[in-house]
Amino acid sequence: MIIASVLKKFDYPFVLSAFFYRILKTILTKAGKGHRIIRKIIAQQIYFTAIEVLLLLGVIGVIFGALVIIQILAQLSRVGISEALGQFLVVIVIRELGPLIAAVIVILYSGTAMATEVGYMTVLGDIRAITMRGIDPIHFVAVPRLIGTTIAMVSLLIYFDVVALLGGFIVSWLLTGIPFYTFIVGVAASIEASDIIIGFTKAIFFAAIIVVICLYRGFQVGGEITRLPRAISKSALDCFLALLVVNLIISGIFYL
Amino acid sequence: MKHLLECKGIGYKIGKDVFLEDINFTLSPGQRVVLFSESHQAASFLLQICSTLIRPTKGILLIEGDEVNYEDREESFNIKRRLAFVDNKSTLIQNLSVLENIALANIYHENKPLEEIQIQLDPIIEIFSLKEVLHLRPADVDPATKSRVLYAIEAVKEPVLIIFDRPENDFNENDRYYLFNILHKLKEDRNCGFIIYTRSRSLIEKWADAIIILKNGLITQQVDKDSFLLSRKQIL
Repeated sequence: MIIASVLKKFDYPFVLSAFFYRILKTILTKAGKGHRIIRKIIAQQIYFTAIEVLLLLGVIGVIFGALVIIQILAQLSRVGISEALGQFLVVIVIRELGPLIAAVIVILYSGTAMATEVGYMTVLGDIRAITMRGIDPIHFVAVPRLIGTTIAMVSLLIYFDVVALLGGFIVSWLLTGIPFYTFIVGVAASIEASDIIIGFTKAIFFAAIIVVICLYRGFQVGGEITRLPRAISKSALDCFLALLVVNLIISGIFYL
Repeated sequence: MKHLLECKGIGYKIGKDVFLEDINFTLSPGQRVVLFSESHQAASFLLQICSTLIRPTKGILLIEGDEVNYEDREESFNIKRRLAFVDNKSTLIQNLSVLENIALANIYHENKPLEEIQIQLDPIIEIFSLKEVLHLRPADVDPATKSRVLYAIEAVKEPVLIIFDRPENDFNENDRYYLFNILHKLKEDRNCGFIIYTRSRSLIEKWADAIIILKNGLITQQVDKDSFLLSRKQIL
């Protein structure tokens, strides 16, 4: 009895894995079913997750790239290796913090909205209404959000990396007069194919984590609206913790 | 002949509270049964079990001769497509328009564009006088119209089994003809079977073939309409 209750406290990752498996299985078994409406929901999800945050993420990216360069220049000018600017920018922005910051924006803007929306759908009876039409809510609600958010996350990562590099270049050029060509050659020389692959891998994992946690929390609201605020805040915190852990694992596997 | 619906020893309890004990009854195509119960909760659970929304804690349910397998999600969704079920928890999907709500099942299952589906749905839209509100969101339509939309959604599924929970609450006296129109249409077009939980004398008079009386979680009697109405003169 005691062991069972202790184990129950640690079953969350397994429950989430089972939920993720169910979504993946649904993608495979119901491929093509209701494609007209599913495609529409995927497009809405991409629009909501990626297009609507472009300006905000662009500003954050430019500021972030600029801040990184300011710190690097402050340190590197002392040892006189300013040529390595690009390399440091690649390591910090593209490998590590770029995916993480893009993911945090997605959690704050899209993840919490997803948990809220699905929570409301369960409270207001939308999920029951979908079920009564003979439609699997996992296919209708979860699948398009997973696909849409994954596409949006990968696109946002590319966009964030580009604007952060641009912000980094602007500050570098203002402070050191470094020409664009030299800067970009430095960046290009530092990027390896593995950096791109790892960046995309992280983006895909992060998207899956955000969608699975937020949807699960939303579905768990059941019929009680008072559970909704807690579900939203818990989904954001769970996502953030899971992102850090997964980021650590992926970076550890590829870079150590 | 296959029964549309067959309950065999159905029981339902939550914790120690027993709502249904040992329910046995069958429903054939074209048969119109009214469920009468003092306890709305027990009747509501029975209707939700018959519509496969909840699983009985005891007994088996057969729909069109096949035992319902609750583990098979796909089959469970296929069964729901053949049922029309409206109760007091039924709602419209909030972020879809009235038209999208009505057409959703067809758009999803038939993979056709909304414009094409709308032509198919026109007769039902006509029956419920919904043309004016098709492009409104559920939040913008009045409760009486919402009720008509709910019944329209179920009618376009082309069901074989109709399960309505207190439909008299969804239609006031002036609007009740909408309900009778759709009931008649479903009976004529598809020879559906009907289970309706109601306390409306007019509905029983105009619609029922037989009355099932549910008391203390058991079906105590199956009686004909006239003797039932006579015995319940005071309360209905």
